[in-house]
Amino acid sequence: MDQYFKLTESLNRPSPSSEDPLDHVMRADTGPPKIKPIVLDTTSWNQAIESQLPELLSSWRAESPDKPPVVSARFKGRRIKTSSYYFSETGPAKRGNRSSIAADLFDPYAPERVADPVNEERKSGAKSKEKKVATRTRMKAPADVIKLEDRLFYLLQPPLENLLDGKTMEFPFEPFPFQYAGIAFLFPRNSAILADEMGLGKTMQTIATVRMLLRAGFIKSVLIICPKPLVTNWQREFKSWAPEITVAAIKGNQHQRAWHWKTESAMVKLANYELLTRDEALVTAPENEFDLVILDEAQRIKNKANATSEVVHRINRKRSWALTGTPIENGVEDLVGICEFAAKGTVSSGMTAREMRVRVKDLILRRTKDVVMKDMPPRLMRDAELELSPEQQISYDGAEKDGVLRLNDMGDELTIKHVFELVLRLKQICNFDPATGMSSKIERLKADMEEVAASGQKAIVFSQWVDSLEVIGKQLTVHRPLEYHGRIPSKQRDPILKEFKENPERKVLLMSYGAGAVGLNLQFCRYVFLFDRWWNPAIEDQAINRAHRIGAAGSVTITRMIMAGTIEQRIHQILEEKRELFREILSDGDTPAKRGLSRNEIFGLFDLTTPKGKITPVNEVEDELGKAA
Amino acid sequence: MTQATTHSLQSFGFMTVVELPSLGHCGGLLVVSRIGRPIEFHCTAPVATNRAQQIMYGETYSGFLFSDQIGMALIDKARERPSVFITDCSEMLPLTELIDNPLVFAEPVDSKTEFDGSGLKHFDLSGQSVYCVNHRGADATLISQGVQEFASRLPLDEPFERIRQAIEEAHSVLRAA
Repeated sequence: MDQYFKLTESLNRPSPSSEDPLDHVMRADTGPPKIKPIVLDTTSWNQAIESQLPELLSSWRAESPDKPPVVSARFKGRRIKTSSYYFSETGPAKRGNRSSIAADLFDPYAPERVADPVNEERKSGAKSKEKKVATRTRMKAPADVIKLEDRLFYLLQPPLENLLDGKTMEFPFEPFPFQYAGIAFLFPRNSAILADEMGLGKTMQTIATVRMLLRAGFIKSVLIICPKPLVTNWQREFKSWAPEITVAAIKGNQHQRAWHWKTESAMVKLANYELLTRDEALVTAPENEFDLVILDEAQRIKNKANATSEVVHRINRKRSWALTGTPIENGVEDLVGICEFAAKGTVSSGMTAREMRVRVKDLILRRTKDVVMKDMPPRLMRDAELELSPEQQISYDGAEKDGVLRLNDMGDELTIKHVFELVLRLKQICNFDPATGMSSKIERLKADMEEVAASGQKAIVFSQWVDSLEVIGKQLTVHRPLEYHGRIPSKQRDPILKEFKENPERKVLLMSYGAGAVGLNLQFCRYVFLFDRWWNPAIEDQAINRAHRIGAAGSVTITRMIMAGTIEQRIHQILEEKRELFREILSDGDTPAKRGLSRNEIFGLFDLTTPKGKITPVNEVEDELGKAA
Repeated sequence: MTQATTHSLQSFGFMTVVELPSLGHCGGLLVVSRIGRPIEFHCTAPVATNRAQQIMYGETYSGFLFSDQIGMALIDKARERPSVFITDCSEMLPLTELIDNPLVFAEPVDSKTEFDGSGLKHFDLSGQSVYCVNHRGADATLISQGVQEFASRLPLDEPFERIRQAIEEAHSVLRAA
């Protein structure tokens, strides 16, 4: 673009003397100026003025001494350097490994699914839209991703809340903001340790991320190793959070397990720690390579020298994640063991805590309930759905069949009390098998208590039967339990509570629903386990509120143990429906119904017809139940 | 000139300029799909203020720098021409004279100067004013419908946030190198 101008004082330094060659230019003259076009590089404009122009002016003066020259400067457009990145080519399509599920998660041109507004609202909850506006969780590339193109790929994705909304991937519930952050942390990492405090949803965050990775085509095969009592929990969580992902549990006899290891085509394989040493040859075979191996309760391998740890370290894998609520139980050496699996060589024995902290900064993500409290309700309820052990299943099926037959045979003589008796009997089998004492609930409780104790916390376990509490106590001796129920003499109760509060070695208090009164101060307890459920949610809430009160030190995690496919689950469903109805009609808070199950609901547990005879009111039956505790 | 329809708004080009302290102005163009996923990203090297041009262009200098220099450098690199360009920099609006694609101005919510949008098709998105500056024969109503449909999934300021973070990331990597 050509620009014509006259040099002005603003461009020049003031002329010190009349001998300054530029003076000629400044002077007006008669006649049109003689124009000689000069192309100057504008970036060295000042240099040109100082060096070139005087010489030029001298030559012009010689030609036309009376006419001021006009200097024209063509301002060429600057060539601006630009960097370009094309993601439709460098995304998953180029990386290959497309999974059998359409790898549409990062495909810019993936067709948008038509959302079902009714189901979206119901599944995500009314608050989900507010949350989407309020929070934007971005993925960031971990420190070991060096290539700028790869780093920008993560950075330029839409917020996770949009990637995971109902139109792309359906979830049963809206994740909390800190859980989105956990997914954003895991997704780009080959090595990661998710060390959230127990109850914050490590399982859910892991499953959501695995689902994203499978759908993006970044991985094809996953192995999850966990304690045996948690295998069914993982299967259940996958059904909720990633129903399209195929999951297979490695179990059965030697031949069955061999088939699972070698031939099973499920995307996710679930194995327990206990069988790793038995199947060592299979799981570490060179042809058995996993894109991702996840260790749940990874503190199990903190000791590098034990046989299980040795097998785990030899599993062929591309990505290694560890999940643990207690990465450091006894000392920093525990962390070395876990890091050896997740990111070998990151830390070593003998490092100071400060050195370790620097090294693992990008490797570990830990949140505690205190930190994320603002993102979650102070009372965190979680349902642990368990399956009856084989022994319990046999006893339960027999008792239910015989019991229902007997109830039906009673005809008009049937009262609600008879039904309750059967319900109680079945609930007791859900706790323990009467013949062998086997209990899935105990196994789960022991696993959870390990983590509670390792994190320095305490727990209360509620049951409606004192006998059950006594059996539980014998199983949890390592945590030095204390009992608090109707059979404890009054004079001993306060000292028991004091001992529980003040002695750090007392990790668990076994309590019946009927025991205790308003005024019990157990706010230091962060974990509550409902070993079996009470009929009336209000009574349960009273029990829970012994730990969770206004002014409590922190949030409380309440685990409700429910045996799937049993009377417990049916009761749970009815109570939840009643809670939901109460909430919808009367308030937004989690206020429970004041009454438990109605007469028809109780009879409905066994699909019995309504009797014509005298019916015992619920309150009278509750008095009977209260006697048990 | 093609008649843009809602269905043909397949991609959106978000464009902005960021000032990097002591380095200059850096432009970024992020082309995204209808659902906000990235297709292309382009960013310029920092462009320092040129004193001679600043004097030459006077008040029009910003427009020249942001549109003629930075904006066109970015647009020339794009393989896929988006259905509509969206910018949050009023200094990029002179691009309307240089490109055929529709151009939309999303006025920043915290803008200190008031934009004179008289005569332009204008709509409001959750308190943010959006103007169809140049629709080059395309139906302004359909352009605005397409933009509003996009904004129903992602707020319009969100892609600009990505561009700013990406520019910062790109330059931090270069500085480290």
